[in-house]
Amino acid sequence: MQEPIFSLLDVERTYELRRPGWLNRAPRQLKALDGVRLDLQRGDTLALVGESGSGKSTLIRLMLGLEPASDGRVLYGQRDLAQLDAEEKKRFAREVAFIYQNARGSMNPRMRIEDILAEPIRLHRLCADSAIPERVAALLDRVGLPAGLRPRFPSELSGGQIRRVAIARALAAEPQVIMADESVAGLDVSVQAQVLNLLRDLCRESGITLVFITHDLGVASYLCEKIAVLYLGRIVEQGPTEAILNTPRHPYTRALLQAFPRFDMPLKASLSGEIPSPVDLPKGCRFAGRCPEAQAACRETDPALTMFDAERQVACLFPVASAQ
Amino acid sequence: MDCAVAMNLEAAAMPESQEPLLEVCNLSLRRGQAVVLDGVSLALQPGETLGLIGESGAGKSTLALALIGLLRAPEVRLAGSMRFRGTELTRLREADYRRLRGNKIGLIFQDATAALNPCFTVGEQIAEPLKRHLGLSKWDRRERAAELMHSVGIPEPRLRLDAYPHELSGGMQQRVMIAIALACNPELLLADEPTSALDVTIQAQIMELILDRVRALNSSAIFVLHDLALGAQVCDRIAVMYAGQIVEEGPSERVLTSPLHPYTRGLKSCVVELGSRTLVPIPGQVPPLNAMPAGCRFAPRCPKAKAICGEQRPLAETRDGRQVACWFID
Amino acid sequence: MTEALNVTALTRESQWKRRFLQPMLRQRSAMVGLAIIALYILAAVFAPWLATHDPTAQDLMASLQGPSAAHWLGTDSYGQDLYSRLLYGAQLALIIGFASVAIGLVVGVAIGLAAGLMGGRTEWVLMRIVDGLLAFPELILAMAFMAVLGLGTENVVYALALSFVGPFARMTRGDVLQVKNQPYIEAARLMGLTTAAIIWRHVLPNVVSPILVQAGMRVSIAILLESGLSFLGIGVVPPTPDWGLMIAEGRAFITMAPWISGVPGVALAILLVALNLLGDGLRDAFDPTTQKDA
Repeated sequence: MQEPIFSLLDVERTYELRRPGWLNRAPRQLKALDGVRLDLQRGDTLALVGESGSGKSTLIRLMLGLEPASDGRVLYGQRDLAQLDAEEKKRFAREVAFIYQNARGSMNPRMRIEDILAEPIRLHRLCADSAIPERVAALLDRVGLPAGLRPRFPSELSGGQIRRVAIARALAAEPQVIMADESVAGLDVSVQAQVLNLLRDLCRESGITLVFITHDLGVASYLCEKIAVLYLGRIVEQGPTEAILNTPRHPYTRALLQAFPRFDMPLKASLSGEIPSPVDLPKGCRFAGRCPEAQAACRETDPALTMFDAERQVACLFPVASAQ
Repeated sequence: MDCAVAMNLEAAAMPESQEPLLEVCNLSLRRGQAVVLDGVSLALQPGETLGLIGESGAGKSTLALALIGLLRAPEVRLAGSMRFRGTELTRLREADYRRLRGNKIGLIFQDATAALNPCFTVGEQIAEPLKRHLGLSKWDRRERAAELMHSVGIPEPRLRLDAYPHELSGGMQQRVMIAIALACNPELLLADEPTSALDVTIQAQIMELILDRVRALNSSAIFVLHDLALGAQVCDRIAVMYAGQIVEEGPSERVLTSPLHPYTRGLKSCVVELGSRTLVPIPGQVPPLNAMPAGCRFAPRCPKAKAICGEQRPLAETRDGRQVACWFID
Repeated sequence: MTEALNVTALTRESQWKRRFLQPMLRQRSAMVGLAIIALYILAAVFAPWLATHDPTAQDLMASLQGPSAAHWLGTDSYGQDLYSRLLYGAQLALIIGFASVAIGLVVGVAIGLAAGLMGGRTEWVLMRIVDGLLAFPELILAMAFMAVLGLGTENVVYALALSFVGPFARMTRGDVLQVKNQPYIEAARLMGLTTAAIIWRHVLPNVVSPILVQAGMRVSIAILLESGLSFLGIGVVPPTPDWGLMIAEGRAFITMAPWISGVPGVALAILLVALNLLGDGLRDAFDPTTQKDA
C-alpha cells in the first residue's frame, strides 16, 4: 500500500471565544474540527461535503498550513506540517496549490493576468525568464482561455473566466495536489459545466490529487471518486462516492441526499431544526439533536469515525442498515 | 399575438376556466438602450405556482421586480400590459401600487440579511405591513406577528418578536421574510431565489414551508429560480427565460423532462445531477444587453440555427401542451 | 513567437491608454486645470527668460506705479517689478508645494506602512505620534515648526512637510490594514513569496494609488499654506519674491495701489482652482467605479 500524500491524525481545531463583559468568565470553546481522521492517497479525488459550520473550510486551511492544529497532527508525506523547515515549506508551497472561493479577490487587482500567472513560475524558477510568456500562453490555452486576456486586469474578466485563471495559476507551479474551495458555486450552469469538465479532464490527464470543497452533492459526484461528509467539525462518513450516494450509512448523509433537489423526486424536507452552532457542543453524538433515529446511547457517546467495511468509514452508533 | 394564444391555451387547459389572476401581455422593459425584457407574455391562475428559470441576466428578477412595481418610469420604460385581477399595472399610480404591495402582492427577496432592516426588531418589521394595510391596533399587530412567526416555523415566537435580525440565523431570517411577505394574506407571492443563500437541508425546509403557506392561502406564486431540479419539484408550470424572452413555457414536468426548445435542452444537458456522466456546456455566451442579435436571441449559440433564425424572431407556438418560441421544433 | 509578443506589447500600450489616459481625458474640467497648471509651470521654468526685470531690484523712483509699458503689471512700494516677481513667485510656490508634499509623503507613507504591517505595540506607538501631529490644524502646526526652525524658504518646506506626515501616515495605515486582509495577500503567502516581495509587489501598488491622488490634492493646500505663512510674516524672508509676501506688502496700499496685492492674489487663486480641478479629475479617473468602459 502506498504511503498517503496527506494524513490527518485526530486533528482538532479549537477557537476560544472570549465573552464580552468585565467578568472574566471562562471563554467558550468553538470546536471547528473535532477528531478528524483522513488519509489521502496520491491521485485521489476527494470531495469535502458539508453545510455551514461543518468545518470543511477550516480543514482545508489546516491542510494548507495556514492555521495550526490545536491537537493531533497533519502530515504531508511523512513530515508534520508544523515542523517543516524553510526549504521544505517552499517545496510544499510549490507542490500544493489552492484555489480560493473568492477567485477574484485572490488576485492582485493591479496585476495583469500574464503577471499573475508568471508569478509562481518565476518564484519557483521553473524555466528561464525568456520562456515565461510561452508558458503563460500554454497555461491559458490549457484552461480554454484566449491569449488575448493576458494584458487584462482581473476586474475586466467575467466570473467564469476568473475561475479559470485561478485554475491556471494553480497549475502554473506544476503542483501535485490541488485544493479548491467551492470553485463552481455561483456560476451559471453552462459556465459551471465548462469549469467542471476542465477540472475533471485535468485530473484524469495528469493524475493530480484533488481536494474539492463543495456543498453540492451533484458536483461532488461528478468530479470526485471519494467523498467525506462533514457535520459540525467531524467527518461522519467517508468512502467511494458512488457507494455513498447509493447507500448512505450515516443518517446525516441520507438527509443531505434527500434534501438535494432532483428531477425525479418530490420535494421533501428531510431534516427539521436549524444547524446548531459549533460553540459548546452537547455531550454525545453531535447529530443526535436532529437525527430521526437517535437513541438514548447516542446522547451519551460521541461516535468516532470507524471502519464500516473495506472502503467505508462511518461515525455512527447505529448506521443505516440498507438502501432506502 | 403570443398573448391571445397563451390565454386560449390556459383557458383550454383549465377545466373550470376562471379569470387569470395575473396576465402579462407582450411586456417590454427598456433601461436606457438595453431591452431587458422583450415581449414577455404569461398568465397565472389563482392557486398556481409558476417558475421563472434562467441563467443570470435572463431578466427573471427584473420581471419579478416589474410585477411588483419596483421598476417604473423614469428609470425604465415599460411597454405592453400587466394585469392583476383586471387592473392594469403599467399605468397604475404609485399611490395605488402601494396599496397592492405588501398587501395583495408579496415579495420574498433572495438575501434576507440585506433585505431586513438591522435597526428594527423582527416583530416591528413583520407588523409594518399589518399597520399600513390592515390598520390593526398595536396589540393586534403583536398578536398577529407572533401568529405569523409561529406559522413560518420560528420556535418561541413571542420571545423572538423583540429580536433583531442579526441575532437570528440565515434560515430564521428567511422565515421572517416569508412572514412579512405573507402578513396580509397576499393573492400573489413573488419569491426571488428565496433559498439560494441557504444550506441545502434548510433550503428544503424553507421551500416546503413556502409551498405549504401558499397552498393554505390558495394564493398563486411565482418563483424566480436558477436551479432546474428545484423548479421541477416546486412549480406547477415553468417559463424558461433567455436574454429577456420566454423561450419555453408549460407544465413543469413536461418542460423539464422532455424539453423542446434548444436552450432548455442545452440547460438540461449541462445541469449537474447526481450520477451525471457528462455535462455538455452551451457554447458561447449571453450577448450583452445593448448588443442583442436581431431575430432569435439564442440563434448564435443554437446548434439548429438556420438563416431565418437570424432574421426573424420566432413566435410562440403551441406544441405538446406548451408554448415554444422556435422555428424548428421537433 | 515574436509576433505574439508584439501583439502583447501593442495591447499593453493601448491598455494603458484605455485605463489611465482616456479616463483622464474624459474629465474636461481636469484638462482645463491641467492646461492652466502647465502654463504656470512653463512660466516658472522660463522665469529667468520671461522676466523683464530682476525681481529684487528696487527702484524707489518708480514705486507704486500702475501697469505701463516699462512695468507690465506695475510696481510695488519698493519699485520692484510686479510681473517679474510674479513669475519668480510662481517658481517658488510650485517648488515649495511639490517639495513639501513629496517629503511629507515619503515619511508619512513609511510610517503608515510600518504601523499597518507590524501591528502590535509598534503600531500603537506610531499611531499615537501621528495622532499628536493630527491634533493640530496644519497651519498652526506649520507655524509652530517655523518658530522652532526659524524663517526661510528651506524651513518652510520642512515645516509643511512635517505637518503633512500625519495625514499621509494615517491614510496609508488605513489602506494597508484593508489590503492586508485581502485574499490575494494570503494567496501570495501560500505561494511561498517572501514577506518583502509581498509588500513590494502586492501591498504597495494597492496602497499607493489613492495616496498619489491625495498628494496631488495636497499640493494646492501646501501652496496655500505657504502663502499664508509668508503673509503672516513667518514664512520666507523678504525680499524673496513670494506671492504671500507680496499680498502682505500690498496691504497698506490697498486703496492707492490695489494691484500690488491684487496681482499675486489673483494668480494664487487661479492656480489653486486649477490644482483642485486637476485633483478632482485625478480622483475620478482612478476611482474604480468610474473606470468601466462605456
